[in-house]
Amino acid sequence: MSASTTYTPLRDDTAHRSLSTNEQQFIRSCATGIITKTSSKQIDRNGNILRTDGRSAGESRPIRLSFSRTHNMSECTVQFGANTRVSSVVTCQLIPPPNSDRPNDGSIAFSVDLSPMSAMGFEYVQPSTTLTGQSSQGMGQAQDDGQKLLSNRILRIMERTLLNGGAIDAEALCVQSGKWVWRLMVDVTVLDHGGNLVDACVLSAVAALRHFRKPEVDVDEHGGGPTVLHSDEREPTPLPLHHTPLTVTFALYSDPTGASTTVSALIDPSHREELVMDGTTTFSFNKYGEMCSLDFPGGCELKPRQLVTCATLGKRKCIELCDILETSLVDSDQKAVRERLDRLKLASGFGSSKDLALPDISENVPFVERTDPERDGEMMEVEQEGLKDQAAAIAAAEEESYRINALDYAQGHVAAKVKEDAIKRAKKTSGKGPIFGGSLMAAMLKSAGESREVDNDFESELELKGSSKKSNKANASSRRTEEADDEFAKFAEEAAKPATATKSTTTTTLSSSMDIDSDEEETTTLQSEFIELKDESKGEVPEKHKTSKSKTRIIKEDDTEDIDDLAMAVKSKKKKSKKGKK
Amino acid sequence: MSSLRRTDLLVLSNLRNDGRKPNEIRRMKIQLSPLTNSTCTNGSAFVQMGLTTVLCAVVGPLVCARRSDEKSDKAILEVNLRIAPFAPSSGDRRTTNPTTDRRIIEHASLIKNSLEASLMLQLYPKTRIVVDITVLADDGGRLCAAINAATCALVDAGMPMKDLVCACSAGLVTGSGSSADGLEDATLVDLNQKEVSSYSNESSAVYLPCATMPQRGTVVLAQCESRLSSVDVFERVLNAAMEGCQMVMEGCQMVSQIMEASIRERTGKLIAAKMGNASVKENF
Repeated sequence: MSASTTYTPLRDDTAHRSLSTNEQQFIRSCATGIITKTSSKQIDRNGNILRTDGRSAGESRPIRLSFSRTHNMSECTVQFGANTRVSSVVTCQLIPPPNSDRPNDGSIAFSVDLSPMSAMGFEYVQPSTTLTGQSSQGMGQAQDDGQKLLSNRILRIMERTLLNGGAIDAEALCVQSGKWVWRLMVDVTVLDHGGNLVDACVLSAVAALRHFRKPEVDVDEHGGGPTVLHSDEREPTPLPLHHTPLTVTFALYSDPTGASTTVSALIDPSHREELVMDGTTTFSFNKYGEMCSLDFPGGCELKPRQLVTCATLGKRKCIELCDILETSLVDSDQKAVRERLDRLKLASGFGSSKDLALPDISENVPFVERTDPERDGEMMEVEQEGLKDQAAAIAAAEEESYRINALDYAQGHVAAKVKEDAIKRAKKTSGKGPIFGGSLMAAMLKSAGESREVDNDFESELELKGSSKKSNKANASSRRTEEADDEFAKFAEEAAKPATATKSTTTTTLSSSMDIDSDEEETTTLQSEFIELKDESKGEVPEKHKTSKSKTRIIKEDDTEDIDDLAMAVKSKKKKSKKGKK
Repeated sequence: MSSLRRTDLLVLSNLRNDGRKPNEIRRMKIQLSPLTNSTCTNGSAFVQMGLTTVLCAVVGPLVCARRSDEKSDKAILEVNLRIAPFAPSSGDRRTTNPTTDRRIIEHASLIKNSLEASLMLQLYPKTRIVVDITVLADDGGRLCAAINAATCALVDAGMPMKDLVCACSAGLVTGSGSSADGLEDATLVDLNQKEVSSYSNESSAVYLPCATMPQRGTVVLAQCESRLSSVDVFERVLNAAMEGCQMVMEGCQMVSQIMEASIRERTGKLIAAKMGNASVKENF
């Protein structure tokens, strides 16, 4: 096996993952607290260290956790600062005991996937996994040893912390001794590599394990095999975790001349700091302060006393991390329980319709047959006992809410044709539009931004020509797409801002609606040259929220636009030629 | 009546299962240059720690296999670790493929890191040094034995190093509360397979393989594959680990003394052979 060329598996000599010499020197000098000649203070290293992102040596980046949970699956996404993001998913399945001489032991399989989207230089490799019987074949394929070693290290640390440390007991996963056991699968995916992947992976895996609820199993005595009960039928149970170990990673920087053995230790290194570091250490603690594992893979010499100091600092950090984890777990657990109750209520028809969590049908939805709660409530009461019917009721409710969402053209994905109209309406601003959602819109808007000027000219030609027919058509179609365009304008603004990743299950629509107000004013200033057009259309604004009849009319008009949309390239050429004519 | 456990034995007789005192390392045998094929190897060493046997061969400095691998200011260190199929001592007879077994890959990179801390790689830019390690018998502590073997082989090959890298493992056994003697912390050095595997069952033990540079007094590698010490307060564990490190260093001191002795012996023989003068040996 050819090895990577430096102390740590993370650094490699390929151009896109190494730094220039002066950048290396800069980061090193920040990390070791040796400030250049301009300052005279360089004595107390760990006290005076100011890192490139403004942190001190013992400061870690802000952490954000988000959870979600459904039947037989729990997911947790962890984000460190702005750059490191890791997501892990826990699922389980029933299998016969894998080890014949341990009939009561279930199995736990971890897998770590360093996806190519997380860092330049990561290639697609099958995720390395601990699933026995499935050798990590992907390992041989990675041309890059750094990636292989990193995923291996993460996997080993997870194994060591969670399995060897006694956090999960394999015996607790037994369903029927000798016949059926649970296999837990923890799949960790690295979404973004901004340094300190070890901590992020372990944190997300542990959080997902804590958030996971194991479904109940009905064991058929008469040899029919076990049936897994859906989480809506019987409340699932949490996993029996003895304790919650979390890890803290340090990046170590030693004196390059080798003269002294003073070492700087930085907590939660960023990507750049990792590229420059000499060595790394990972400690693992739980909230009681017990050390679960220590991993010091070398590369840098440390006096034992320094190791102890690192461990003490790490313990403090770990306990803080445990607290953060606990609070977010409690919050998301409450939320998940609430959601489940809502679902159950919906299914069984309990409570009046206002208690139900069905989404409101906005006026934008043309054709909806809504199940009438009063009418159907009686029917549902009768059928309440049967589990099958209950499941069917849940399915019906889900289907209905899905239908509402799908038919609501104002929500969810928006077809390209709407963008076409929206561009034309760019000049016309008015009141609030309905709530739009999705980053697809933002992307489309960005690309629409380029062709905007072209379309604006076209529209202005229409108006200046004063052809009533055309302007009517434009106005009519513009009425509806006006709303769309407002959204586009908003999202243009938002796209310009740094994207805030809200990966929680709360809809993005809520957040975008809050931004609507602030962005309204900006759109008006942008299109100040078309003010006369704006005034024209203002009279038509209150008509926007019309009945579905007008909607259908508008949709028909949109269809005609649709045809034009297909020849959009031709159109833009036409517009350009028209411009030239003028 | 429950069977007599190891900890009870320790308490009663203060000896371990192979008759050692808690702070004694296993019998070490080092032989330099067992492989004499000079075209293939520049240096080799055969190290036995108790029953754990490791053979290591070093070739280098060599031209890099791929130009893209070479570093302009340093040599590359390549470590290949292989465990012979007949090597494992108990039960564990799966043939492990060195390219896919995670533990082996991890060990190989650990060995590489600890050697790099000591080798002066900047003296051989644009080259690579290959260290091939084969574990012939595994009776616990194969990582430590491998590091020791690699160090000796590098010395045999004449590579300049800052210090010898010595490795040893340490363990901590907490006496059970029921024991009358109340022997609390028994720190053991250089654990063999039986002790290591028993610790996987007991939850109150710590196992710490460590590599150090004894003369500089620094730790180069430390891995705590410890099972959780359930009742211990953190400081105790840390103190034990520190003690373990100290122990390891003492163990490594012993190891390094043995190494030095064999190195001197070997060098003496070489010089005597070259100069044809048997009396030169005495100057060492």
